[in-house]
Amino acid sequence: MISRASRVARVVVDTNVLLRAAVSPAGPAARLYASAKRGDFRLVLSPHLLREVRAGFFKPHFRSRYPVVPREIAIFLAELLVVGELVAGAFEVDLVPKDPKDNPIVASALEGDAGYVVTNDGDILTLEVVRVAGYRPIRILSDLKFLDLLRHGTA
Amino acid sequence: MARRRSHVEELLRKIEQLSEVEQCELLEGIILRTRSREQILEEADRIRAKLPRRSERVIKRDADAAIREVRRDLTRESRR
Repeated sequence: MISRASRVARVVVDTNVLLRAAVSPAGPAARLYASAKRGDFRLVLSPHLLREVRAGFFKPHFRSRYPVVPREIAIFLAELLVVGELVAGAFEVDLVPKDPKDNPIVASALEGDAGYVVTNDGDILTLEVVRVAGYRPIRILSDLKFLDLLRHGTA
Repeated sequence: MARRRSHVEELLRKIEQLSEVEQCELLEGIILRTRSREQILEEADRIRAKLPRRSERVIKRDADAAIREVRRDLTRESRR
């Protein structure tokens, strides 16, 4: 019998979606995060992604709008770590020519054997599918599209 | 006892010298070692619930802007 854990999709979620999910109790990002917490899919994280989320909280404008102290930010990061699975962050790729800053997202997906990257970043979304020899293809989807797949049980 | 107290004070001094981001990383480690998954999820939900309510559109705009800024910083750092 195949266990549920081995059947669920492995997914890298872009940092702006993770940051939204951390401060929002509703909306697509929050629904996506709730799905990960339920185990509907396996959230794949990397040190780079965590670093971006952590730094995002500390940006003065963001912090003035969502006032949290370091202890509370630490709780959000710890939450991500108990929900997701952390890869070492050893991969480097050059697969997003339009915006090289997005390469670490795709690298995390390859390293974490993920089949999906969920993002609302147009530069990555235009890739649609990333194929690298020796790795499973990575589908790039928006949060809404991926939620649709989850709803229909096709992720 | 006095030696133990001075050791703790020394540690606290070191922690105070860390940046807020470094303090946050240290706290993450402590939280993960001392609390259960359920306790962490519950506390995160409690913090989320007390944050100001904003529309999803506004939250998206704020998060996108913060991450753009972070990526600009990281690019600048990597060029140094």
